[in-house]
Amino acid sequence: MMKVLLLEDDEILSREIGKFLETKGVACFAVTDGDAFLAEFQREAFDICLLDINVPGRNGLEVCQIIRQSDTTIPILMLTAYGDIQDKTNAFNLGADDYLVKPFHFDELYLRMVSLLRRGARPAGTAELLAIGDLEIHVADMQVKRAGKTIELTPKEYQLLLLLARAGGRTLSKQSIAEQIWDVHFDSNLNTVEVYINFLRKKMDKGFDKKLIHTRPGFGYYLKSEGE
Amino acid sequence: MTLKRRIAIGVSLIFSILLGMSETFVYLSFATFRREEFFDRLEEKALTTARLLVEVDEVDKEMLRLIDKNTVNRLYNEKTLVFDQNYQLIYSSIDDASVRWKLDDLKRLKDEKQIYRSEAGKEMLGIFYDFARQDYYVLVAAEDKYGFSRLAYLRLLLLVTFLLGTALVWLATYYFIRRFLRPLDEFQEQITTITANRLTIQLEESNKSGEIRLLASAFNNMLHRIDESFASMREFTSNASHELRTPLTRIAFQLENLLKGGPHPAETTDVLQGVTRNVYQLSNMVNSLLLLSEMDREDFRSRFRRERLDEIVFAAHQHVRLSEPTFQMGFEIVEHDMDDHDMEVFGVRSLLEVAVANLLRNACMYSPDQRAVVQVEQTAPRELTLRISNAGKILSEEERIKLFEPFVRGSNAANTEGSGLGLRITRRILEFHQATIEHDMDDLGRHVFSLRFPLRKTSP
Repeated sequence: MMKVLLLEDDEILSREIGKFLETKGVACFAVTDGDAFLAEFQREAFDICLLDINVPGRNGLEVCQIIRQSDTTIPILMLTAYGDIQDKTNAFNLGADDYLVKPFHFDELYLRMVSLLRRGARPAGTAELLAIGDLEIHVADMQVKRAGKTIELTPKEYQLLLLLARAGGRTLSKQSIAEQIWDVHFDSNLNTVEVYINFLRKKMDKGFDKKLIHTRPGFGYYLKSEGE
Repeated sequence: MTLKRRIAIGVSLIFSILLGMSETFVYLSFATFRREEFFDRLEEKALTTARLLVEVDEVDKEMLRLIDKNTVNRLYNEKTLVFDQNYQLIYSSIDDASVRWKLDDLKRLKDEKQIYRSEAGKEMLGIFYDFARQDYYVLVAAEDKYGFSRLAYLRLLLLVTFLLGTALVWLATYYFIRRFLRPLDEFQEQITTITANRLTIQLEESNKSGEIRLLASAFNNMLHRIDESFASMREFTSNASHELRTPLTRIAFQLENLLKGGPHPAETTDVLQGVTRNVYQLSNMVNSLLLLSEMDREDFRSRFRRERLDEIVFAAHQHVRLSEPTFQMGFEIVEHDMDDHDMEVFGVRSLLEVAVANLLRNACMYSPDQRAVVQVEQTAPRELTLRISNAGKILSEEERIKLFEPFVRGSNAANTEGSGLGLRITRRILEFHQATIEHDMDDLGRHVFSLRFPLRKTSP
């Protein structure tokens, strides 16, 4: 049974979250202030931490920082208020894994918790690694490297690269790329796919002799190391 | 015309008029003085000549000419004529000069006893002289060369002092007024930089003279009070929004558990779902208000970063999909050789996401097919346009004009949820990013919102 430690000073919110998690078979231990949270965290082992930021005693951000000093793996999900735009950045800098803005849908909370746990559950050694020539895609932490050099991609560019990489050298049509990446199911200009392929090419192939992204005129695109 | 120039011109004009008047007075006085002095000399000459000729027996015409010729006090270009009572010339000095005279002059002299006139640079005096019941008429004419040259010199002197004095006074007045009023120019420069987001500017009060320091201090006090009232307004909005959000979150969570805890009769489920939607809508509105109060804070611009517009659109789409799972968005880039940097705008990501999400949510709510097409196009070398189009009921011109006003909802909004704040917030956010938004209907009768962003060129 999954065990969650929740820091939330509003009793009604805390009770409702607990009630929902119970229906999902998750045991939720709720505390209302930061110091009590840390004491509870020391006393027992939990699978995931849910932290509200604005609470009495040590606030959620301080608690997050203290936890990270002793435990680098436990997933931490921040439950932030909308006005705390700056807090979100702080939260990530202090070691939080994800955040949700209140009010959120309970199903979304559950999905994010599960996703964080799945990510954490995978032992470091078995993290999915896709390698095509000198290109490496670390799927777990969404990192892309070529010849050891990290390449910065936006989420969409990353999704496109991952899609091409997972196709294992097969050609993917623009239509199928558009459907999978942009969720486009009605007539739409397929230029966008070309533009993103160009973005990817500029970031991935520029400065390298061997090109990885190839065009099959009239069919689509494929990812392959020329040597293979 | 600026106040500065007006004061300078006014002061200078008054000075010029006064100086001109006093110089004219001096000149005219001197001219009168010269005339009177010369008159005296001519009179003395005429009387002396008459006396010597008529009264002194030892002096005849020839001797008188000799005396005349050897007088030290001779007048320039002098000529003396003496007539008897029959108007016969009885004496004429030997000079080459001439006297213009007519018989009428002598007749007039008999009546008036004295005539004086000036013509062709010469002045002439005629006197009537009576001796031993005999009438004599003496005409003396001469040029006052010395007097006129002094008068001319005085005229030149006065003219030069007038011109120089006027020029000096004009320059000095302008310079001093500019110096005195410079603080006002500085105030004006500082004041033009004041906006609703920058109210903490203080005008310099030290090293200013009396009234200007008082003005600066009064202005600073006013600005301080405005800033305080703005701050308390912002604080109120912010506090009210925070306070509202907690109960809203409670209601949302309670409703969700209630819905999940079913089974409920279909009617109850409908009502609960409707209430849930309304709660989320309220929560969106509260968040929007919070956002607006946040944006008015002075340091907000320091949070600007370079952000990819396409990623903002995708994130906004994801956000809308949470509450509108049936919403579909088509995404197009109208340009082949676009660089990824060409998609970068400068701003606060979360704000831009809200702006785009509001438009997408509108597109979803007001279009019968719950679809929107988003196009990104580089419309000018330094402009990126985001077009969001969707089908929907055509709006009247009047409604289109009021589209961006807060709490105004179009006729197409009947039976839909919404606060009438979304577009207003979107426009506020875009204005904050120096971007613009326009609404149009295209040829196919679709609503098109065009957002134009200033494009920042790639950093080094």
